[in-house]
Amino acid sequence: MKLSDRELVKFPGKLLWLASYPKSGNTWFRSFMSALFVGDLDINNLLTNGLFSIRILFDQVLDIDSRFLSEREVKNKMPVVYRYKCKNVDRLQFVKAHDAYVKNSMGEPIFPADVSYKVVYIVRNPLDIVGSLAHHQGRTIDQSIELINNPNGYLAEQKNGLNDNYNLPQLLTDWSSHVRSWLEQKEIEVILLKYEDAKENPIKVFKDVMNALEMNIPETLIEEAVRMTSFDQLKKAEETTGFKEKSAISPTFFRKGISGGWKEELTSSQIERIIDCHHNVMKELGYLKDL
Amino acid sequence: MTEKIYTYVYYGLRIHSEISLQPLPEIAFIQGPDIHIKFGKITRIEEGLEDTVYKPNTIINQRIFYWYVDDIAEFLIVGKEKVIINQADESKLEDIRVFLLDTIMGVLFIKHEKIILHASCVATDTGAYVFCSNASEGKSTLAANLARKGFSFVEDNRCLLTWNNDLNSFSVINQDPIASLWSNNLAFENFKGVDKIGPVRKNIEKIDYNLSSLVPTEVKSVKKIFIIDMNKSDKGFVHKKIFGIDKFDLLLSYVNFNYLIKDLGKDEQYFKKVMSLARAIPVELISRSEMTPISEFVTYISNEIV
Repeated sequence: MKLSDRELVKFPGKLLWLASYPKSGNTWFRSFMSALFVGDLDINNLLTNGLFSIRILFDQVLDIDSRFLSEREVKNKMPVVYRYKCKNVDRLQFVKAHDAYVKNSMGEPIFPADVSYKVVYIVRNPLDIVGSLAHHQGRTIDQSIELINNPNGYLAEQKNGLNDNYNLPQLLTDWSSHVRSWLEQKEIEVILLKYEDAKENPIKVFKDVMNALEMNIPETLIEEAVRMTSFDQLKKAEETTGFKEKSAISPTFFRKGISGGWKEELTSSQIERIIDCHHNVMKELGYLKDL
Repeated sequence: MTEKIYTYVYYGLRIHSEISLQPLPEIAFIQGPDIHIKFGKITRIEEGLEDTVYKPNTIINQRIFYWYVDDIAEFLIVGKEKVIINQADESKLEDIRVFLLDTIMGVLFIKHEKIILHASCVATDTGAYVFCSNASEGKSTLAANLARKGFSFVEDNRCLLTWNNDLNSFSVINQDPIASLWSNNLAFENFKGVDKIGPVRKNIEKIDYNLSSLVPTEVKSVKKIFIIDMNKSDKGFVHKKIFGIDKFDLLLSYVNFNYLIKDLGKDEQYFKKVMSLARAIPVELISRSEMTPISEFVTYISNEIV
């Protein structure tokens, strides 16, 4: 029996959220999950059932053009859309999310707990995120610092009431609030995956995650999936086939794939601005030890 | 007391409506209407009906289409000619109009087997060119900018294609003189013959423009359909002709509300109609980089169609 048929069908009609602040290793982990369950890797066809805030799903589930709706109206319907997405589905579905865990205007979390299995929350040192984010979005590092420090930070936000992006606007909040929103909520069980730990020992970390997900995966398969999704392999795949998740503004999606690159990239004033804003959460997660 | 009845012709369908669809122009007609739109109470639809799709806000089968928009209205289409609207307390008629013209009319077009592509359209003296794209990929902007270059503006968002025996080809003529552009798109600002109406809904920065005096009044033969999309390369265009089953699949994917065709029991009819369209009209795909400025794209397209 195929691994996916055996393990994913244990959780019919449920969603596994793969949540993170942008540029925290979400794509790497999704690639790993795809390689693991498919046995092969096509970076343009990852085994994840879309992005939480993809507009076309919302529009086709509700038969509405969401460009005619306000953000408040959209957020109020997000739980409904995902409950419907789970109906009559015979296995666990993975969904990537960059939104912070927030409540809508009706007081309901936008991520519905009743159809959620667990969340793998991927966290990365914000000092490393800003360089990667700047590269991805074609911004300066200072602009990326402004975003991660902004309590009202958004992804795919359009200014002045415009609302026609491919994806719905995603409220990130600032980096610390994003981390706290997911780790402190009590509705959905969280598995914390630290990017830096995974870089250091991917087989152990990913095996721990699979165990926490109550999936019985032989270690040889984990090793093979880790090998298929090493940074060099992902970069090579992008060079060969391109990557649809790359932004047009950046030359590549996969950049350096390292932790600690900030030491060469950031000025002392930039480091200070990030730490001033995120000191407490960085400390709790062990990101201040190297300083 | 008798309610006022407004009369419209919208994408070839004659409508009697108790709700004003302004800014659509009222048009009198002699023969009976294809569609009656009325206000009224809607009886709760039973659960567990056979061959019926139950979605969060929609119940669909071949006879009925029930749909609601939170805090705006419930809508019920019965058969293909009757629409009942149950207005929510304190909702605005302008909001009802937006969703009625979009989803409800979209469903009625399918029920009436219209070939309506999600597309804009411009014309020259010799014929019309249709630009299909997904939302946000620039079809309205393209058509509006081509109008600025002297091409005739035919449609903004939905394009009805009908077979015309006199022209011996598929043809188009404007069906909706109201174009909606996002407020950062200034293509129709201060454009001679265009009236700016205002936002489609409060707090939604999509602006309606009335193009009634601008659109051509004669039927135009469709010369070519362009599928336009955007890619992640850093520059330039990919331009290719599409043939065979790819052509059929692409055209079907741009039929307005195509994903509802099967639930509405119209897949067989649309298979035949789209096949005949695919046989009759050349289709070309033009993919442009997200980084390509719209002005460059407009120049490229205008060189293709002169």
